[in-house]
Amino acid sequence: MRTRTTILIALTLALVTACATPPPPPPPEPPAPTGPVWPEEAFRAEQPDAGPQPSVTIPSVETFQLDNGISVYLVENHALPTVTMRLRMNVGGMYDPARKEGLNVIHMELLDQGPKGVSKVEYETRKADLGARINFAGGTHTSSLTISTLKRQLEPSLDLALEALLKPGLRKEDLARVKQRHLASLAQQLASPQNIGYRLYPALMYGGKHPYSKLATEKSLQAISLRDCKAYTRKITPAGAELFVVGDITAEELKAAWNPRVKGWRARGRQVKQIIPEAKPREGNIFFVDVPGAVQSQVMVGHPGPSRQDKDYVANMLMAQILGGSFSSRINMNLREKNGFAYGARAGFNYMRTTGYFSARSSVKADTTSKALREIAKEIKMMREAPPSSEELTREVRGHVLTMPAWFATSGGTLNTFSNLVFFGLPLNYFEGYQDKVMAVDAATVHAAAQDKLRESDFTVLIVGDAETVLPDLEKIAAEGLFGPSKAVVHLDPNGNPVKK
Amino acid sequence: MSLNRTVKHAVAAAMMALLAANVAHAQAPEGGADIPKLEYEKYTLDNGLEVILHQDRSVPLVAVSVWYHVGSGDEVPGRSGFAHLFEHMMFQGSKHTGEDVHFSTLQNIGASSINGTTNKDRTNYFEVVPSNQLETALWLESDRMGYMLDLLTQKSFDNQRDVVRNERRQRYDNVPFGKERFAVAEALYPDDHPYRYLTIGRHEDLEAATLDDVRDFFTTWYVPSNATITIGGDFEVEDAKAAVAKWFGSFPRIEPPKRVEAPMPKLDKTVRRTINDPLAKLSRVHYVWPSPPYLKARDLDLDVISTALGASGWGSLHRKLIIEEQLAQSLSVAQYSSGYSSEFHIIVTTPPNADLKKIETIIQAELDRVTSEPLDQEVIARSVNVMESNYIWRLEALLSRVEQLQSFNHHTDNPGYLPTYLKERRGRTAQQIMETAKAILSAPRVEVITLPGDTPQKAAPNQGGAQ
Repeated sequence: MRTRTTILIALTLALVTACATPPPPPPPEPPAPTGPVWPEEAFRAEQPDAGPQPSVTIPSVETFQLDNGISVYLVENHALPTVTMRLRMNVGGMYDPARKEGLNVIHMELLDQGPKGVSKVEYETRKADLGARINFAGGTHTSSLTISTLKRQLEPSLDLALEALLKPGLRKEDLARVKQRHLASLAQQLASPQNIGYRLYPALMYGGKHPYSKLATEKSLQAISLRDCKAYTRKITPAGAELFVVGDITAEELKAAWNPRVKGWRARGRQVKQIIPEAKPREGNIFFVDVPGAVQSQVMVGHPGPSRQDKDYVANMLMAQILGGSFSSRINMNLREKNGFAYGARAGFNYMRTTGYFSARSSVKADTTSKALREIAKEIKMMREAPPSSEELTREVRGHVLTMPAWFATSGGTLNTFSNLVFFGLPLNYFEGYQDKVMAVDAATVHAAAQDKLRESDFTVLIVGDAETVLPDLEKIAAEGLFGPSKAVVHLDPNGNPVKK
Repeated sequence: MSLNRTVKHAVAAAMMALLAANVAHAQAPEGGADIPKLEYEKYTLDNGLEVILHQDRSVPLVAVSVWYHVGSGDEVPGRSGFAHLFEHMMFQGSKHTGEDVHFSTLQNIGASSINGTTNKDRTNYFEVVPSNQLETALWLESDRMGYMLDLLTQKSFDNQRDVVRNERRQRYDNVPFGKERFAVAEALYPDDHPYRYLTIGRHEDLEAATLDDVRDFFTTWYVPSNATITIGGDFEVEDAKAAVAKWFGSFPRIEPPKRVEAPMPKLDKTVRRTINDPLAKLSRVHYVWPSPPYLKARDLDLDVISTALGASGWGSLHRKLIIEEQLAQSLSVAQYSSGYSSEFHIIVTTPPNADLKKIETIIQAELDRVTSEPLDQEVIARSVNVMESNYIWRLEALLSRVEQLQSFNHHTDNPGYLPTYLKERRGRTAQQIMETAKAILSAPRVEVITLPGDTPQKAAPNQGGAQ
């Protein structure tokens, strides 16, 4: 409608101009409005002034121990009569024995099939009737049991969850089913470019026999026996376990609920602290997995990087945000908004407990794969070459510190924020003065972080895509040495085993 | 005390508990269980824009959400995917805010959640910002409502078309079982039906869309009288009203477009298709029935039936297929509800060598049971309990509450429909539920069987399939 109005006005003006020389005509009637009028109001031209920034309330964390030594981190929040609890245990997939990779994950899922004498069907029925959420999750370093419940259902929910953990059913038929599901899911993953990329990349980055390079395979999953699981259960002890709690509960109530239920669960032996070696990427710079016919390529570009404990963490983070962390970041704006190669692209640091790596990643249209790789390389190079603009830095600084209230807006958010601090060995008062610390970072510091933490060369690049479309240009990129000295594309199968081209 | 009452009581308590901070309670219905409701105030500006305010002062955040009452269900033949493509254009800039700065502007003020989504019924745009930044959110939303065409260019449109086609590749064309989603819709909906090509649309239709389409779509659908803005969170009600009046009050009144309700499809007989998916390594049996629109009594019944069949462990079909027979890797049973008509899905994913015939026999036996025998009271109560507790846990987040008010407003014109919704579902009897099962699930259906395929041939350009 508005368009039509504009055209009419333009036509009228044109006519007026055309008729200007001969006898002056009577002034034309202003055209009757033919469509809706959208107001011209001066105030719309400027972003409105905001009032004073609301202050952030950082919840305080109470710490104590249960009788059996479990460290507790409690954030009391009595706004809602609910309690969310996460017991984080010191078992993870990185400790899986050789040829049984996947044992930790399978075992944690087996615990979720119900306690001794309680079938899976009965177990799920009880969960449903309690309205409680009980989840077991296996991770790389640690594994967890998470319980969300109404306060009034706390006792029966805890009974059920801790029975599942401490008196597990460990039934043969449940194991068969859990294994079958994982085998099927693995088979499916190995056919999807995105999944192949995300599964394989950490193994290439950490390399060789690194504990983070372990991949569950069909063979290793098949090898897991009920006996393995029974032995594994005995390894789960309170040694090094942590309990994070957010909700409508006091320390005394929490102790009263937990202590009697975990009385017989004691730490045995000494806790072994494994020193994690640095990442040592697999030999080569460009790795390729062929998925014939893939209409997009999964692209991963990175190298080993700083740890979460790095003294320049904040500068590293801001730099990575500018490069590829947010929608407005350089890599996303380049690949998506400027070139239309992808639906989205991101880059940033990935942190494990004491190590980390940098990576940029995207799913790009197959025939733009090499162009996208060149653009990513260019953006990384430019990040190292010059300091960021003040707009970029301000955007990422404010975009980080001003979202702080949202980190603590839900019980889940609060729980994750604090349990992450503890995981990385950071102090619980980490966020005191944090906003000031972030705002103090200047462009020169970010530039220094880019030069220090981004590489000039020797990247680990993984492409998963259609060989026919992608390979010719990829070989050119390798020959040029764009990502490192190795001039050959290394061909892998979806499990990362070398294959002949 | 019967289990039924225990379960119901637990749920009522759960809801009271979870919503205690931000809701009041309607009168207790018979049986004494309280039903929660979300507090809100709704009014309409002279230009027809609806405004819903939901105050919650517990955290210094505000969530702003604008719903335009147009979705892919309103698309015309040859322009599938357009409502969603248009949604992308709404982020490309408007007269006073500038070109492609929506995200960066919001990031600069500390927005913690920024996005837009399109479904069959509606298109939504939302952001969660610190409470002192409400006006900037309104500045951005009002500017794209009023002045989006001013910055429209062929270049940005071409770019977003590429982005959307890449989105389709990433979410549908390059993933296992993406193909079958199109196969199901094509079998279910006739040629000119707007649900036929899914919300993402066909590549060739996206390719064919023009700048004039963008202008027409905007001037037809994106008028104040076809939109609702909901603001939730930490604000003074009078301040919020004044701010809405400032940014939206001077916009013109334009008659809202007439929506043409897409008919519920009717299958004369069961349609069965077997497809090969080169990206699939597992097989899949997928049954779908056309079903009544969101919030109709039978839609509520089908929610109960889907839970009773598909819930992990105790759902009857889950128990038989996955626990007892161990025939399948996963099962999903769901009523996908939409405003014009819904779909009831049973999806069984199996290892490639599974006995599909046996699986289909078991599904049919369960269907025969739920269409001929009433469900146990206990199972109905448990299903309702699970649905309600999932529902209520979700409402802890401010943005979810805002979206819930929007959704009920869109579908019933009453943002406060929550208690009615819960009461109606609790009130459905075993007999009524069985009759629904019989009417809907005994009717002809779509059956799509996916088998792992061979290496794909390169698709010819401009076909509906993968590119």
